[in-house]
Amino acid sequence: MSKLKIERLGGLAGFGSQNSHLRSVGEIDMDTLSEKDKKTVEDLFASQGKVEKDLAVDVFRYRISRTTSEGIESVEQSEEKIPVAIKQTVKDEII
Amino acid sequence: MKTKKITLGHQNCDCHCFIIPAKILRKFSRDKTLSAGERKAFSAAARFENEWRKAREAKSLVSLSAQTILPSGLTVRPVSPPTVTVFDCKHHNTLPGVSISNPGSSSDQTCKRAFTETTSVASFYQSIFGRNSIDDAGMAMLSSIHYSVKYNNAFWNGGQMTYGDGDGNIFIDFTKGNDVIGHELTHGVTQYTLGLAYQDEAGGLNESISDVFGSMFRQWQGNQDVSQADWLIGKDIMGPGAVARGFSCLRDMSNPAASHCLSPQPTKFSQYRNGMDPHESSGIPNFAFYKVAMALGGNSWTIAGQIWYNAVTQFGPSPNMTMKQFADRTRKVAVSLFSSQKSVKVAVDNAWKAVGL
Repeated sequence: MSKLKIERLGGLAGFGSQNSHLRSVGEIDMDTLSEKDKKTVEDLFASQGKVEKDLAVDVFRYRISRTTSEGIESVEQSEEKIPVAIKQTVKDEII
Repeated sequence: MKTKKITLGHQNCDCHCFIIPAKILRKFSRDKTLSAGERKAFSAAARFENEWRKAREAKSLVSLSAQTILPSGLTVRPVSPPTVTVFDCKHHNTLPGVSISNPGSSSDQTCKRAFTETTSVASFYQSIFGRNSIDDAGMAMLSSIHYSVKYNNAFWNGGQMTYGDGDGNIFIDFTKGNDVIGHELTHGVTQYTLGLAYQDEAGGLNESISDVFGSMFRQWQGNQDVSQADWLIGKDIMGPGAVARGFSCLRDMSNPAASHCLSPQPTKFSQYRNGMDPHESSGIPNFAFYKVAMALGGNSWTIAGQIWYNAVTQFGPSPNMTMKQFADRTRKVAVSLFSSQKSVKVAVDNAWKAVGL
């Protein structure tokens, strides 16, 4: 069972930046995702998080991490590209 | 006879943003329970949605190119205030949502605020800087409210503003912050002028320009001079959970590293690192603007604001501008705009030097 760790970053408030007191994290088992969402996640890792040029600012970014035989692999993408099932895993909190 | 009645778009602005996502439109276009004519209409709508997205990006590019090609002074003069529209996402994630008629007199206070404050930002830019809306050509100002569920954010997507309701704990309704509304609209202004990228130094400048004009708008609306201003970003959207923990803002332009900020920032350029979130590195130019305004006194928009506005809007696009380049530009603008007031040049120079630029 492959576990995905999810972090929500940025936004107007700057979630997850180095000194921020705002954090938004979650996790989900890859096996619980639909086939379509699994493919989206695999495509994200395959694309290395390459982001198309976009005019949007202050939108959230999501960092998805998984552990492979070669270590921890992470990819970042803006929220509109992330499946809802993954976005719903995170919980905003003050640290 | 089919009874599916679906609103495809809206006619209240000069755009054609769709309420239904393209993938749903495509699904309807293949729905055999619909008539051939209806399927054809949905297919056309799906294709148009994609073309509209391209058109929006092209409009920005044309506007940026025009600044470098057309002679200076050739600008479109305002003929009337821009159209201000508000849409309700009804807690879904699809933009823009459902059009709200007469938003200024809505019983929904979020709607009324989005309309009133957006109209006021337009008035601020018009009366203080002579700017006709976001693109200086009267562009309609579109806002979507009640985006998603307990959404702790507001953003500019390249064509419109979007506001979440907050989770009620860390944040409350994002339309409650007049500086937040000024901040998001200013991202549009930056898009149509400097066209700054959203990473590294240019990203930090992009965020700072939105904080600077968001705060200035808040001060202008409150008729505050620089000593009366709170210089806080996001004070009015802080929820009870954040306040109980001693946090009073997202950022403090007068003290970017303060412990009462939810996201403390660097105060000196020596602390800057490539890859920093733009909301973090923006503390450096934010602090410089604060120092200029405080050194000059009075209202921030009278001198400091004019220098910053001129530096942002009068030199054409510069997507990868560095903070040093922006600092030097404001130094030059200070001399050219206020040549008879040496104190202005000194204030700008000292402020940037204080943050290491």
